[in-house]
Amino acid sequence: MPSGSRCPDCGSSELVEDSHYSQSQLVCSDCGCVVTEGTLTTTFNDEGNLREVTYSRSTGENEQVSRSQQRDLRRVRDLCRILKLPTTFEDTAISYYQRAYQLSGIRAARLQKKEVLVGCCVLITCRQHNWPLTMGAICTLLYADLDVFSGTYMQLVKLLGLDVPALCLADLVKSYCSSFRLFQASPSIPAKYVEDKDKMLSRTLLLVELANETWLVTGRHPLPVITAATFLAWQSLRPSARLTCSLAQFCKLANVDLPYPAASRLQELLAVLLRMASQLAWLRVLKLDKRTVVKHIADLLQHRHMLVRMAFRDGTAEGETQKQQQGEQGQREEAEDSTFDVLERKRPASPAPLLPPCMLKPPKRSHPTPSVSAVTGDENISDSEIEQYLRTPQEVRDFQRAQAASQAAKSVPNPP
Amino acid sequence: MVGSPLMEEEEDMYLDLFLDPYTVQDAFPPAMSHLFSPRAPLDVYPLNLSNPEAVFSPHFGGVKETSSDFSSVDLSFLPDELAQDSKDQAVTGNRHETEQSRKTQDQQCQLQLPGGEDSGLSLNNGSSPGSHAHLYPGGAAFNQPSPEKSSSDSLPVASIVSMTPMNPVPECSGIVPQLQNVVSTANLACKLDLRKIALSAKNTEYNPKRFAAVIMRIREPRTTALLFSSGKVVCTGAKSEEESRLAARKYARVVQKLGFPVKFFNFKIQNMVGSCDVKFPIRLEILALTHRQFSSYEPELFPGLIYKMVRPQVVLLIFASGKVVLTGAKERSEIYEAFENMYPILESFKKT
Repeated sequence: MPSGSRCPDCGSSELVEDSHYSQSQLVCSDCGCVVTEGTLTTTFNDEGNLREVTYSRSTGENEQVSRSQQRDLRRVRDLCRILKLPTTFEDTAISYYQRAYQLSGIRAARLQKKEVLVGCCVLITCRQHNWPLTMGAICTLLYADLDVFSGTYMQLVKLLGLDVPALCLADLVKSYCSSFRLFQASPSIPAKYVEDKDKMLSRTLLLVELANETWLVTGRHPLPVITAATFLAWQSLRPSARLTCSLAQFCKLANVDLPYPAASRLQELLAVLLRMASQLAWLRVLKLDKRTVVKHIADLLQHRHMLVRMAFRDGTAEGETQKQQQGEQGQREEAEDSTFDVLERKRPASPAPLLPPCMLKPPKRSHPTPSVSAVTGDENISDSEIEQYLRTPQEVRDFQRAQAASQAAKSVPNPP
Repeated sequence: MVGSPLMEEEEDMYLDLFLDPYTVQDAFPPAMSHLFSPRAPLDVYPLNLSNPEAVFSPHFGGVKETSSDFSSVDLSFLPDELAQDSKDQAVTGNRHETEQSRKTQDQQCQLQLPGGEDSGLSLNNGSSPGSHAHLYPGGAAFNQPSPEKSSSDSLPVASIVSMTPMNPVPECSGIVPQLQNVVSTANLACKLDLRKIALSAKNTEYNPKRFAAVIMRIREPRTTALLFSSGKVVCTGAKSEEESRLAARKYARVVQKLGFPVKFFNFKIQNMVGSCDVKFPIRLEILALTHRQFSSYEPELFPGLIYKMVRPQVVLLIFASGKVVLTGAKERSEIYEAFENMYPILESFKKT
């Protein structure tokens, strides 16, 4: 028995260690009072009775750490556990939070900011380990505003001087695609919509790569592009059955939120694919449109590097020889060789510039170059010019009367 | 006048900078290693100039000069800066000849190449040493006698140009950022009765519960001012420094006419915003990778890349479409300088 510990009720020192359903307890053998037990007694008491207590709950740590910080550190751990992050991430995130808390700007910040700070620390840790976690995901978990989050995040990165790598697109594709509920048949999903995960993943990755190459990803939120790419990949794996399904229906089936920009990303991606298709002789004949091109995505992706180079110009000469194309296509499609040779004579569609969509749209308004006005800053200011901004005394009286009237009207409730 | 006293001290400053040893660089984009040097953003100047004519602006007025100090170094594969301490003595003499000039950063690579037609600026990536031999065939095009230019690595260093705010002379890029906004403050040196001002002036807004200042607007120059009860004024919306000063004086006159004993003290420009367009798309993710210490690119938050330049202290917002917004400058020259520092970096993305 540890000396000095006595039963608080009867004062006897006869304390027995007992365990009740694996919960160890210290019980007084005289009166039966439970001296220490998990939730019934306080940590302070437990420590006084020399029971083991977890470090994070022990009172020793609490002396240096304020209550709100303790609570937020616990939140960091909880967030890491919810996201199923490795345990090393937890420690890193905690250390970032502690470092941030040293800064006066953070320590004196509002509670809302501190709550968001928890998310920021976890996000930075994930980014540094290339774990794909979007800011939107963290904001939904924290029930926080993206603007508040962004402000706190930028401030934290600046204050701590951290180097946060960019979001890894490939990993994000993998984790996002895996969240689509299309890989197993279920009552809500018809059999023709179920798809193999690996095939869909690989094709989505190729489509996202293509989007990246053709300027559809730079400067844009990454997630809608991935949604559009996943949809196209899924459709192209079985076009006959799936062409009728729209993007919105697809996301509903897969139990994934449809981000708003995904529809326009889809259109942009289809436009790129159509341009690439116009470089392939056997597809040119078919006169594809945005729906039918989906059937040929497999072919287009197979030759994507060459097709992008041919379909778009970026200042390099368009002298891409057709020999490469001939060689490859000859291997693949012997049946169409005859037609191919005939069509080869025709020039493919003239290449479009490879530019981000914002540069392809016509400018909304012409920007007239402002004429250099010879203002010196010390010119004379005429009285009449200033007088136009002042009210005459009569106007002042009228204005005051009008203001008073509107105040009176506001205070009187509206008649029904 | 805003112009002249400013120009005197600036010219002295330029002279000092001018005589500093400054590096001449020639770097090729494929060698990414040099881009990670701490001074990377200011040093790197890849020379894939596909369009030499655009680079040599004809209005330089024959300013270019090459130094005779360069040791003969093979230019074809310069991974890092070359000729670290090449001084441009010849350029000093040159300076007096130029009326129009522009200050440049000493770390900037100023490729002032002869505006001759076959200046031989075929300094593309990985070009053979032979191509550099015909760098300066048109030496006679200048006012300056070109000294021994046998060494093919002579890259003419920038000429120092004195600042003329009215007619800025673009250096390598040929693009001049346009000023979009100038924010300035002044002190009227008397306590203001905001209620009275809001009552007696037509062009005002005053909502004490929302903000403790009167918002006043004038039509010419089109600006907005915040008038505080302490007598301080913040004037925004002007397109140039002079316009801002004129506008601030007009606001002071309005308040004076309302019966307050105003003065006009401490007029100071606090911030200037400029914008321009480089007309080619930029791979922001690669720029963020290569200039990590200065860039912040978060596509989930903002479509542009935020580049915090250290010298001069200017923040640039760079977008994928090639539009650039420069802000945080206290002087017009800082905006021009920042853009000239940035343009070579952006140019390296031209052919990607």
